[in-house]
Amino acid sequence: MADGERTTFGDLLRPIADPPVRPDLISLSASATAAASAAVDPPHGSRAEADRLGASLKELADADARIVFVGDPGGTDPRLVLPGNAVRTAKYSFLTFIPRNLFEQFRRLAYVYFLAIAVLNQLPQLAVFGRGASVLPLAFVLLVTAVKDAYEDWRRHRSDRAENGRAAAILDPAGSGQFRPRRWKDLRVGEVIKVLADQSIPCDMVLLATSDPTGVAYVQTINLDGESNLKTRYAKQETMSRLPSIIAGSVTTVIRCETPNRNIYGFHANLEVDGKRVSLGASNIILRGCELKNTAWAIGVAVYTGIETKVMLNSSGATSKRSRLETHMNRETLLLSAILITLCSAVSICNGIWLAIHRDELELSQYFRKRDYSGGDEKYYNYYGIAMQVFFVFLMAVIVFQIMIPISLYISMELVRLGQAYFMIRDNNLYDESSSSRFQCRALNINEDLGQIRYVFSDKTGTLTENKMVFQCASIRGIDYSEGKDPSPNGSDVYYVVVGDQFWRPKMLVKTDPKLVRLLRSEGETQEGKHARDFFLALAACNTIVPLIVGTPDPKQKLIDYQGESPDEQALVYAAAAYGYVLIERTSGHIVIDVLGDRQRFNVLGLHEFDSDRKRMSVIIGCPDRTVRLFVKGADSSMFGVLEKSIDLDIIRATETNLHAYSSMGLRTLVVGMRELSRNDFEVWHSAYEKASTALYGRGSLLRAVASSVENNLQILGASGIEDKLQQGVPEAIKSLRQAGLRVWVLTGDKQETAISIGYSCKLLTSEMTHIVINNNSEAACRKSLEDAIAISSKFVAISSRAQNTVTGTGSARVPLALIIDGTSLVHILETELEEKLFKIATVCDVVLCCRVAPLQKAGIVALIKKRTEDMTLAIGDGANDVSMIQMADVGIGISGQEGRQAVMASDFAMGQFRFLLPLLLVHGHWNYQRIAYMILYNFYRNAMFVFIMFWYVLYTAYTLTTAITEWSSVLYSVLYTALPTVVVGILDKDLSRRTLLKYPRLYGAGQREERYNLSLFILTMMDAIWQSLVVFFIPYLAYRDTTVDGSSLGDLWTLAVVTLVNIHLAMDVFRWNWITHLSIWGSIAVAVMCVILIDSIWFLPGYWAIYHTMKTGLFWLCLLGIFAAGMIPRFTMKALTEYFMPNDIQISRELEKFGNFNDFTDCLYTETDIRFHLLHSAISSAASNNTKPEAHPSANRHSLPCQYSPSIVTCIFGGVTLTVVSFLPLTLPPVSPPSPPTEAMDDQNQDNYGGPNLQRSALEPLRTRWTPKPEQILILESIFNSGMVNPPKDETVRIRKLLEQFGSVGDANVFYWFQNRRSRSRRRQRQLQASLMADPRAAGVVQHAGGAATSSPSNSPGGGFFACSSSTSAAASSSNFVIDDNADDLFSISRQMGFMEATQTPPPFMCSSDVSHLHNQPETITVFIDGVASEVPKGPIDLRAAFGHNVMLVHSSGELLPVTEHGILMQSLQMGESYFSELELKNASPSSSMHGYHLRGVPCDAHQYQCLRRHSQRHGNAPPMAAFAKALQSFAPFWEPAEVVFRLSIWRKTKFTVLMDRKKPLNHLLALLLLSCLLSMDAAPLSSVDVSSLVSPAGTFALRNRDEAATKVIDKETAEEGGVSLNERTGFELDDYPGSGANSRHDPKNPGKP
Amino acid sequence: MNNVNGSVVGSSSGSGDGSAPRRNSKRPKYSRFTQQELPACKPILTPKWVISVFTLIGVVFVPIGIASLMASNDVVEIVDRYDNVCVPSNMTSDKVAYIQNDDVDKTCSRTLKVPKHMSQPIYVYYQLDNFYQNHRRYVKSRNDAQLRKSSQANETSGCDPEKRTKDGAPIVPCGLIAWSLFNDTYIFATGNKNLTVNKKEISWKSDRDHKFGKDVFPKNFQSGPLIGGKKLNDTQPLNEQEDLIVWMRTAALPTFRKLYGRIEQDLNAGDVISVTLKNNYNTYSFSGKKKLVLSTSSWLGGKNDFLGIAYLAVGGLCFFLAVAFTIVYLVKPRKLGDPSYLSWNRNPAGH
Repeated sequence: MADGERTTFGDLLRPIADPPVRPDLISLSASATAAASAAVDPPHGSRAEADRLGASLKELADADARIVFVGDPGGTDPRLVLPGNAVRTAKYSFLTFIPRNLFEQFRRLAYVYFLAIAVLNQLPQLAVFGRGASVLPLAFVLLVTAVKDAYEDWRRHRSDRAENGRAAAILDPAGSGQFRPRRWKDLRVGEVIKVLADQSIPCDMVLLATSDPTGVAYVQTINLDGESNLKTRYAKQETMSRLPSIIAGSVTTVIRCETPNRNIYGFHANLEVDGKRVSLGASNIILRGCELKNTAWAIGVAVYTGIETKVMLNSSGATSKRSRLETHMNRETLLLSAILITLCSAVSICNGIWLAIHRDELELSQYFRKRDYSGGDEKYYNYYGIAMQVFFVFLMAVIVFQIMIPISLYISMELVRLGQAYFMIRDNNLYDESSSSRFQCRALNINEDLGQIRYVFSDKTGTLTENKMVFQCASIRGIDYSEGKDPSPNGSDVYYVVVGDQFWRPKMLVKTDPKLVRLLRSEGETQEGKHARDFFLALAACNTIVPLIVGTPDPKQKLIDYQGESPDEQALVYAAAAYGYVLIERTSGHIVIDVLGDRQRFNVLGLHEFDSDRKRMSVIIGCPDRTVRLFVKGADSSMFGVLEKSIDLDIIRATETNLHAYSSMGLRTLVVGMRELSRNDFEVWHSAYEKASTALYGRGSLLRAVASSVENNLQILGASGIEDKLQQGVPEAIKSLRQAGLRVWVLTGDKQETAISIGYSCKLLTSEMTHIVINNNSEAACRKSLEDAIAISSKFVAISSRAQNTVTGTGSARVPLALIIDGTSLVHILETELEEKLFKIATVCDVVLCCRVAPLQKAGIVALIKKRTEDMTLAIGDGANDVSMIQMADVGIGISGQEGRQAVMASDFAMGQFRFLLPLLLVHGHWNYQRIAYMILYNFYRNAMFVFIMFWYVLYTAYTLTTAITEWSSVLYSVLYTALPTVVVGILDKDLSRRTLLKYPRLYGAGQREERYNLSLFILTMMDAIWQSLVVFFIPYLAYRDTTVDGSSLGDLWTLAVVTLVNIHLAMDVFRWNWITHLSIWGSIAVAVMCVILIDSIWFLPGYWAIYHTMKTGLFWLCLLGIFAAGMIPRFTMKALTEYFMPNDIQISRELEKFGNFNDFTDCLYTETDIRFHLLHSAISSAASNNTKPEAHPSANRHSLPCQYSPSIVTCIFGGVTLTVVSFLPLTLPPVSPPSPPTEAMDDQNQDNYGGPNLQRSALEPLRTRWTPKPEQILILESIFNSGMVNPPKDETVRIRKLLEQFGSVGDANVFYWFQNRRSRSRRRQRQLQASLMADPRAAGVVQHAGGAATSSPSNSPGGGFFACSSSTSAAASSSNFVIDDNADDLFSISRQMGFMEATQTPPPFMCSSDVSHLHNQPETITVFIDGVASEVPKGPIDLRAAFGHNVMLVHSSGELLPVTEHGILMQSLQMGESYFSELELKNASPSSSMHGYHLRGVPCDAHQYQCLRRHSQRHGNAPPMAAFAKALQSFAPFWEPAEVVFRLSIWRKTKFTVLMDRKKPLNHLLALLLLSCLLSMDAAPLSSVDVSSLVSPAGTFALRNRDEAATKVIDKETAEEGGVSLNERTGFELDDYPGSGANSRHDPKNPGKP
Repeated sequence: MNNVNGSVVGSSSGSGDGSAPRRNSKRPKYSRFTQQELPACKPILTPKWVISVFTLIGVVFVPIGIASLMASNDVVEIVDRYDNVCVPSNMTSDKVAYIQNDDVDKTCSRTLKVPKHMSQPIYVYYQLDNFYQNHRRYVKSRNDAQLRKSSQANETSGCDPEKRTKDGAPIVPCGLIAWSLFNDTYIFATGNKNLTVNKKEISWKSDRDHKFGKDVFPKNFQSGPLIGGKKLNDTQPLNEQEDLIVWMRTAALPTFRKLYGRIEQDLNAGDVISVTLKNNYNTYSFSGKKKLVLSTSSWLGGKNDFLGIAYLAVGGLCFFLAVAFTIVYLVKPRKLGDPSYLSWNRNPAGH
């Protein structure tokens, strides 16, 4: 029987084992290997295990070992005093509370400083403040904290009591053999405990026996490590069999175990029973905190109790880190201390000088009075000589000026961080629905670090991916079966096991390949079928999965839930079940598999655990047919070495090919092999196995040797591909992070191919990147490749910098580089001198992908960056293998996912999904950084100002540290008068809204560049503080000079002035005023005034009634007013100047928010129609109102677009792209009213020709009244059409109709027929174009140029620009159609269709149109990327159904669906080099289930798009056309779109649009507008042939050239026809559009406003 | 017994699977507060705002400045320094000896000319220069409890070094402040007519009512070897000793005035006032100055041009800034919230 140690089969795919990390053992300074061996969990059988085991045994014999006499607690090792099982989480008791709590509190340096100052103040010579005033604040803080601590501790006491009072069944020590209930806390080591099912385990105990005859017990460890699946633990047969005698106490059983430690995955012990020694491992112990499940009872002996249990040892507090800002703050605090000391020295030295000068006068001057005569003898009164006087004055100065060091800042910072953490935890956007987990702040003092991250190190599995493995495909004996289709829950293809009258089915459905299913179920004994069966038998048998039967509401149906530690194994077993090999029972001795309806029992003869050296596991099964078979599965690298190559070479080759294909699809692969053992082989193995598994020393290595001896000459069965789905939103998140200037490094244990492929699918890698791959086995080779890489990268950098020089301002981004490096190379690089080189190359690269890295290497990589740069690092991971990395990085984030909680435990923050990084960093991080940075500066300023005011006064008191401000005010100043606003602002203020921050990830750079807190800002702030203190001091001083004013009155004035001024200062910097901010700021001032009044109402204080007297005078108020004005002028002026003339990005974004109506903008709620509608509407209304001032569009609906416009400017933001259409729109807009041409007649005509019989038509009411569309309506219709909605369903029609009705009456039928018409027109046009292309491929270019020439003309004079462009779209739409069918709706297709892009500038992969036709003519294969896989496909029509399976459609990477015939044959050719994605057709799918259909296989996740789609479909009740929405989404959020679109956009940018935007050239405006509105109208304008390079001549002027004379002629002719409209106005749209559309052709509906 | 039998299980259903029943209770409750979406006003310094703020300050400050200057101009102030002049010429070499010599007659006559019409009340101040009434050891040397209640006469803590007499009797009022009470006296006359100086209600009513007890009489005052200043009438309760009350309200600055009394009649321009003063107070030991001040008052207090000038300066500066900003905005306008100014739009190549 297998010893059943922890098997992590999932580790097969992370070739280097994931050792459960013992944090205490990780020391990065130690050499990698040493540390690695220390960290590797012994059961995994690392090289060091034998030594360790030996050592531990030796150790056990030592005095340290714990000797437990089972059933005899008294006999337990007398040398040790063992703790009881009572746990105590409470810190204090009644007696210890006060001293301990004070001790805890005074561990804060701030309090010590407070205390020291207070103590200093108690010396009579130094008593600056009264006793109360100096001690009270500290006492108050201490008291509040103590009360809080006491309350918390009381709660802990209560829970401790409850925990300790729980009952456990303990064997009566009297020997009665009965188990009696006792309280947990009375439990002692050595006692025998019985635990029943679903009970918690009271202490760490070694299993003696369980209800299972084989000794298996299942435990749930969710409280321990968060893993919810069941784990198997075993009782030793030796104890099982002797249980009665153990209970009776007739056998002496002794356990020697290691001393308590916190490694929850390791346990070393041996058990001596009847003189026989048995070795115990981690699988024999059940730990406190676990629950017993599915086992009726278990009996064990307590070995560790109370605080020594592993769970208690692991319950350490949160990590304590110090934020970077705080580190910087310390620098400034030092500066402040220097200032403080300078001030104190200055005062004391001046005092000394003053004393020296007035030495002779001191005797008699009434105000000094050196001597005290009262005692009879004349003695000095408080005078100790000048030197001592100076010293005392110095100390007093320290007391008076103490708040220069803003001690209160530390306390308010903690409050602020607490508040920030509260908001982060409460943020709905950080709440993970799927795991129902909130965000967790485990480290409270590094909130602001989140805003300064520059490096993100991410794990892959479980972090980028869901770690929910789904079996995708198999290769069996070299034949690929990957045509699986998704089963429906009740479909016929779901495999059921019939048990009695019940149906059992696997809980998780796996898609099955029908071919394979057929093969399996076919009766004939083909060789193929046999192999397939063996393959699935291997999948079902070769694992450690435990099946559980779960009830469903339907009593006849049960679900089989496979529980196991490795998600990969689960996936494989589910897959086997789906194909008819259902594992339904597992005990430690046998398994029961339902083989295609026939229940068979297999004996498990042996099981070789997975270990990271072998990278495979194997199981030896005794089959019902009396054969003994060995099944092995493992990583390909390890498996190919042990396969029998002589026979199956071809098959191995084929499998390798398939494996390669799988891993390039991002699948995790495993290879399965089998060998039938002969009796002889088995005997040999069996004896060796027996020997090894009972060996005392070096058991692990012996077992490994046995495994290796049998795992050879395997027959290959096949390979499996398991998909680990990308988490939702990962590509978008990575993209945004990269835009934000973060460098994202992915560190994964996966294979290089898998890693690269995942890299592609999560948009980490893009096609335009240059990859540098370092993949070497020796140090020398690594050195060479690093040097090469550096050479390459420097070349690239040089090229791009050159490029930038030549095309200044056009923003050619440099070629992005990606570094891919594997773990083997890292072994040679890390911690050698090559590190430096790696660092050099890695920092140049945009993306770094490390594959096959071990946990410690992950930490090493983080350390590589952390050591060499100042930049902040963040590590994010979900598993135990990420712990070291998480602890190493400045900020560690744990994903609370599938892999347990070790990562979360080690992390500073924990959350549910990778994509939450975006809101966490970009939003909360930004805010936190901004807030804390401001708060620190403000606190410095605030306190310094107060100190300076006191300092100036001291200069007028003969340097004797008199304070005019009362001592109470100076104590309360930083506690009460000004503290609350900073805290409130520190928690609540937001410079920018969440939306803006997410829209413009680059705003994150502020934190990275430390814009909000740096030395120069500090100096500026200090100078401001000095200025303001001068103003506050000297205005009253000069105004009250030579008056009767008393010190208290002036002090009150100063107090109120400084309090109000600092609050006004804060108020000026507040970004957002909500009621809390108002309350806190104005409330603070009010509180200060009240306090001053209150203090002055106390009769025994010298300032009695002073405030009442001064407040009556005008001088007081004039002084205050003057102080505010004079104090704030410099800052206000500076602020106004910098904000206006040197605005930073944040400032501009704020303005955008405020003036751009940004707030209403909710992402993905808009259809492009809305955008254009809005644009149009705003343009029209602005033209109509002809207002001179910019105004926000008073859009009533929440669809309002962020749009600011004025007669001269229309600014639109969508997504991250902001488009500004400058300057001539309103001037050129035609009157809104002119009626448009009737389309009715045309509709009638075309309908029969092209519309065909349409089912929907009959559904429509036969409303055929004559409809005259308004120009706006036509625009809307056009845009809808162009957005891909070519044939709107009925409800959509209604919706459109409603939209249109805003502009005039219209019926559903009108809309319907308009679309019919429009569609037919565009088709006709397409055919014509195609025909002409067929005739002459080159004509395409000509035609396009003609179109372009046409559009180029409107730029010559202002006129109808907006409409012109919009209407021109239709022409373009049709012209574009020949490129890719009905594809007129891509925002960026403009670039494709604009001739200048394609023909003149764009390199492949964009095809120019002539190429397309060329391809049509010569069928051959082309390479396209389908689902990210390069595939060779024949040109021309492809039988999709044959190639991909039934309802699969192809979607172009731009999002549009490729049309197919009803037989599944693609209507057009794929295009060379383009990317396509397969997608399940939406037919017959309800909106909700269609969501699954949307899921693209292995695709560059459109997760967010899907999300949006789903929302949309929920709102509108149907699934909108995929293509249209994909497109719409792309256009809204350019950061979601495929990389290609970005590329196109960059080309578009290269057209020197910035040049076009030059204000001084109206012509440029025109062109800019044209380009823009074309872009906005989302399809191609015939502008395409305008050669932009020729438009923008080097001198910056335009030369519009019409390439085609004929086109010009057409324009002329058109213009003539149009009459009143000038040539230039009229041009762009109507080339040879709508030929033969009859009488109405002139009144084209697409051409509104031009009668 | 086997765990896979359906009967046993049930209880662990749903564990370890994504489809575990959703516990919506953990979801943070939505509120505008927790989502940090409280309605808020987002002020931005637009040119309009900046210019209007500057203009507003200018508009407010310049008139105030003018008004204060005018008020200050209306105040008529006669200042006469007499500490040096009143020392007989034979004793100027050792003024301290002069002032300490009780045998020398300290009477001194001064004539003051009224430059402008002074309407009543005319305040009479004495001004001391270089007298640090705010010196730490001086300002602390008092005991308010003792001043308030007769029963607290023994309460002399903090009054060092003028706490008790040699035989241990408490001094009332104790402390340096009271001890150093100013003791010059002035008698004014125009022509032959004496000008009455009203010395009532020269102190704060609050001090008289609550700070100085009406049943507290001076005891053992100025009985030590060193006389600091004025001696008090032992029969008059402290709350009627207004000179002491005024003196005990310690000045903020080393140069200060204290109200001596009020002349409650108008003086005409050109009037000559003859002052007969007793030059008792020792300022010579610390080179302090003594001045006699007669001053009218305005709504703003005494004669002080500073505030007016300051207001004019600030107002003028603001006007200037308003104009400057306007010009600069006109010359170099920037559209607010124009995304093309965003750094990555200006320079797409990156930061």
